Amino acid sequence: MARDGQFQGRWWPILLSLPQLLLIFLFFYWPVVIGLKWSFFLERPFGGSAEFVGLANFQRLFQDTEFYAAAGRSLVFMLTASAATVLFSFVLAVAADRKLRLSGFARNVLFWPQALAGASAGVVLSYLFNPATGVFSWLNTLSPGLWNPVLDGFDANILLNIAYMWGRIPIDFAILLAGLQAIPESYHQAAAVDGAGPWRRLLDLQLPLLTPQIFLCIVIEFNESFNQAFKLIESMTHGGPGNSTNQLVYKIFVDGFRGYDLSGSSTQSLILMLLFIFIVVAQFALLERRVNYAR
Amino acid sequence: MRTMFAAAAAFAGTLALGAPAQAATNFDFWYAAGQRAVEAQCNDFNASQSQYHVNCVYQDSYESLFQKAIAAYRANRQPALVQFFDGGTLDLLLSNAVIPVTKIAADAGQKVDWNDYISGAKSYYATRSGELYGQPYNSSTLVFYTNDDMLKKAGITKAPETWEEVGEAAKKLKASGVACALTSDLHPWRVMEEFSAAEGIPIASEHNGYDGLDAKYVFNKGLEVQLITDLADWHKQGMFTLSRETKAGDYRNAFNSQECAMILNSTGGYTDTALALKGKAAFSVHLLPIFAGTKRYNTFVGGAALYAMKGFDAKTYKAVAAFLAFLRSPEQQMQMVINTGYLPVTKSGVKLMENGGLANYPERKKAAELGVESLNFPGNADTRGIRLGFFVQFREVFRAEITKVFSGESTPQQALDAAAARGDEMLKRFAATYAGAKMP
Amino acid sequence: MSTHEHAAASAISLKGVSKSYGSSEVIRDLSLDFAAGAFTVVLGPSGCGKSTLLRMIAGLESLGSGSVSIGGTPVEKLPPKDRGVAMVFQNYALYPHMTVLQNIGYGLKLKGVPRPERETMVRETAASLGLADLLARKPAELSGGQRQRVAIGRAIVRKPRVLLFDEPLSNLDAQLRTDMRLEISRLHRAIGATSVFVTHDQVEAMTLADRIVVMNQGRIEQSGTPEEIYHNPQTTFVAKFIGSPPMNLLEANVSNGVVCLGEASLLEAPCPNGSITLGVQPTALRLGSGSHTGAVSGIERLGREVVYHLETEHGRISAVAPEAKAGWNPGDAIRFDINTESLALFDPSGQRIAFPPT
Ligand SMILES: Nc1ncnc2c1ncn2[C@@H]1O[C@H](COP(=O)(O)OP(=O)(O)OP(=O)(O)O)[C@@H](O)[C@H]1O
Ligand SMILES: [Mg+2]
Repeated sequence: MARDGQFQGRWWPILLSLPQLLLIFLFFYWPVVIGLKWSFFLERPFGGSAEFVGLANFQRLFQDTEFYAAAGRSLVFMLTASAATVLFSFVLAVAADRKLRLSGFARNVLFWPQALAGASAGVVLSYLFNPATGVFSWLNTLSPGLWNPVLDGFDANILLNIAYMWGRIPIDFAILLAGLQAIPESYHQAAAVDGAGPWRRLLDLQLPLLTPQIFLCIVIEFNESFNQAFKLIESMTHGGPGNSTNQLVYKIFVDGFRGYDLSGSSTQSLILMLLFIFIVVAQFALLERRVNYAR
Repeated sequence: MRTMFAAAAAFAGTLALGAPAQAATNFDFWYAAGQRAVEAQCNDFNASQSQYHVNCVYQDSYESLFQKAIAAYRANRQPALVQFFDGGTLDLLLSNAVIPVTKIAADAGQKVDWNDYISGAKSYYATRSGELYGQPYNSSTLVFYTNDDMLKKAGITKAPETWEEVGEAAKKLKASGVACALTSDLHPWRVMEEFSAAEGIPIASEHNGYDGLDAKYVFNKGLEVQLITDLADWHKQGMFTLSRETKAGDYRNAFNSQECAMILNSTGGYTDTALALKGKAAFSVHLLPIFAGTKRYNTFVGGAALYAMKGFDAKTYKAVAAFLAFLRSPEQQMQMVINTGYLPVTKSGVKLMENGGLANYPERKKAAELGVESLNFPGNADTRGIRLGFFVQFREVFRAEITKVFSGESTPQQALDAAAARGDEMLKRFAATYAGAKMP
Repeated sequence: MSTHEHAAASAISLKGVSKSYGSSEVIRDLSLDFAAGAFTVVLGPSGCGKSTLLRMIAGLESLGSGSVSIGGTPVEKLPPKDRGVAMVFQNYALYPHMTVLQNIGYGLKLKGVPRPERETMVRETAASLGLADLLARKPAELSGGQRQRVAIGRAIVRKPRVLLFDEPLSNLDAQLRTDMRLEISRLHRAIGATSVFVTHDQVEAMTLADRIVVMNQGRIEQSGTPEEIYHNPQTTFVAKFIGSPPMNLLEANVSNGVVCLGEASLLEAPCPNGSITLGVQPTALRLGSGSHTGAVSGIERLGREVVYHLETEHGRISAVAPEAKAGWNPGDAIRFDINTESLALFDPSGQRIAFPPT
């Protein structure tokens, strides 16, 4: 007997998720398939006969020092930007959670940067950190050339990190603060009675109990630093000075869309994708073991 | 899927157009420079006759226009006419996606004297046999701008003509208290391509690639090394400032705000500067400096040309031909010069300029005349233009390597060698990508 | 203070303590002494300020005004860890990321007790609470009763001078509650600390306490031994709170020194004329015969005893009868009598009238 009001058979769920699947296929898997194909051909920008070259594109890439350098820069940025963002957010969240006088104010002010899109933040910050007129220009009065992101690759990378953090701290701050506030007051009281001062409670109680949120933040930041690096580089440094901020994502874009080297660009994208999958898997494997989900 | 889109587009098209009673032949034109000026020309063309109708679509930049055009062409939804910039010339010549404008005109039954184009403008966009592929459109060249008030204050009475004189002037300017004597963004168009042309030296072998895809970069072996060495020395001594080191953050703005006294800039920037400095300071434009004791050659034309894309019927190309003819007319060229500061590109256009075409715009005339003069210097086989693959990408590589000189990471020779080596890799790959393709 | 020997229990003394949150006064000018080594239960309804009081003793809450001393030393300025107190929380507050071993040993670790010694102490404590096999588990893997024991273990392992319990049994089922009551009683005797136990359950208070302090709206209503509190409630508030079922409170009249319940005169008392509240213990009713009648509206069989709820003209009355006498059903009309020997009288403000005069 047919049961009224219930979906029949196993085709319904598939049918209902079809539009979603179609979109994912069209905008994610299909480009990946095309990119995969292009990695093994020498593809001309306007199409036409493409020559199959086997692994030549990969070979060339693996001999290109700039490719390794760009991949290295991507990884370093991912690590420094994520670590710095999560660390600063944590410090701020703890401060706010401690009901510092700042907190009410901080909770609002810290969210404003979030309203500014990455690219425009980049433009604003390049002006803010201009070596001649920006907020760090006083450093140059101490010693000329101390702060010059236009010429100094190290400074440029610092600038990139600051710009990234500027946009990301609000989110992490909100996540971590929510996590801290969800730790029942009685844990703090129990620890206080057990003899733990604020610092010990931070280390023994808040930090371990916050690991799920910290883990979440790190995962998000790894992702985002990969994604947003492009916007920031495009709006601030254009990969310079002297390639010092030329990360793989940016290089792929420039090679593909400015240089019309579709095959080289696709090959790098493919490698980037594999790299990223590896990072995500490693992340979960390494970090998740250390996370406390129980509360 | 595609037919569905096409149907939707066609439907939207009928709604949008509606008005023209008898079916005019419609076509799309994508462009990325001189928005207001081009819009005016489109409107004038559409108003001047009722047979053809051009839809002019503005794209943000040459780069994004090129990207979109590639994507559109691959999806078979390209416009009939596009504006492409100088750096992408070879990519288009080999693309098999465009029809030479000469053929477009001939098929439409037009008789055109292509030799009317001034040679500097023509050679850049023409095949080896001299047949124009794209029709030169918005054109400019690189010239040297000086702030004469600042120069005078520093005791300089004559604008520098050689790089040696530029160095001396920069020294005097610095001594007179000018923080930024000379500035540049180190874009290769400004510090390498136009410089090489003016000196008549090759950028790459095979006459900058005109004679084959197996070219190799050679700019790292000649005067270019001297220029970069000088600039690096001057930078150390505070006589040369990088564009982004200026307060304005941009070499043009730095000159227009009187922060910097000398820049290399396109003739196209003349109008902005004249407006910015009007009533504040005297400035003038000069031919690009060359090294003392060398002979001057023509500079390259910069800017963009118009290309007809494949994939349309004869009727559409007839409309395109009509529009191209309209734009070629000396009067329309003059409109372009007046509205933007670009140069006239045909001899008849130059003649109209001299004979009162710019009577009401004496300043613009000064810059345009200088630009035409620069383009009209005698040339050699290396000053025709640049036919090098992945050249747009190479420009990025060049800039990145040269910047290292100014941060002290590389010597000029090291940086130029590195740029050339990476450039050669790209040329090799380009040649492989177009293996078997015939260079027109 | 050494952690090895038994710490001496310390008396706690509160003087004129007040506490407000914003404009609401939670503790009102409260003075109270807890004798050293005694087991005092603070009893009161929800929201009367019991936890607040406890937290102020522990140092988790600042004093509004007044003073607190432990063992004769003023402690208002000392942080919790320097007061020599331990506390068992209402919701256990076990550290979720630590094992039972770590939970119990955390305080010792912070005190700097070396690891081997610490483990011995934790194991001893755990064994005395029947937790020996659970040391490696995390709180989420324990039952409610086990968690409660860990919380208690964490408190007693340090041999504190003062042990504070904040409704530790309220989350347990009835059987466990009974067991734990006995256990806490035993532990208290074994440790000898001054214990303060907060609850709103009068059964716990009656069974555990050396002394009961009844609180109402931030004030002390009455304090005394369980017997004193049960037999001689000093206010109607206490009377209503103690006993299961609690004392029946009936509206009565006094005219010319005679207390009348309705028409029936009950006894003579030297009171002014007017209305009065009559307190009748449920056990002071003789069912089956007498001058009053009531209809049975509910029956609670408690085993050896049966509680009858009667609807009478004076209101609802609860009566406890031995099981042998049971035999009525809901709806039955019963006659009953009141044993006048154990009656209590309260004036209209709820205060006890000294009677019979002593
Ligand atoms: N931090 C606080 N801020 C404001 N009001 C509070 C705070 N803590 C407690 N109160 C109020 O003080 C009063 C007493 O609270 P307390 O926790 O001492 O009650 P309690 O007697 O322990 O109640 P329960 O038996 O429900 O635990 C309550 O009305 C409560 O709402
Ligand atoms: Mg409480």
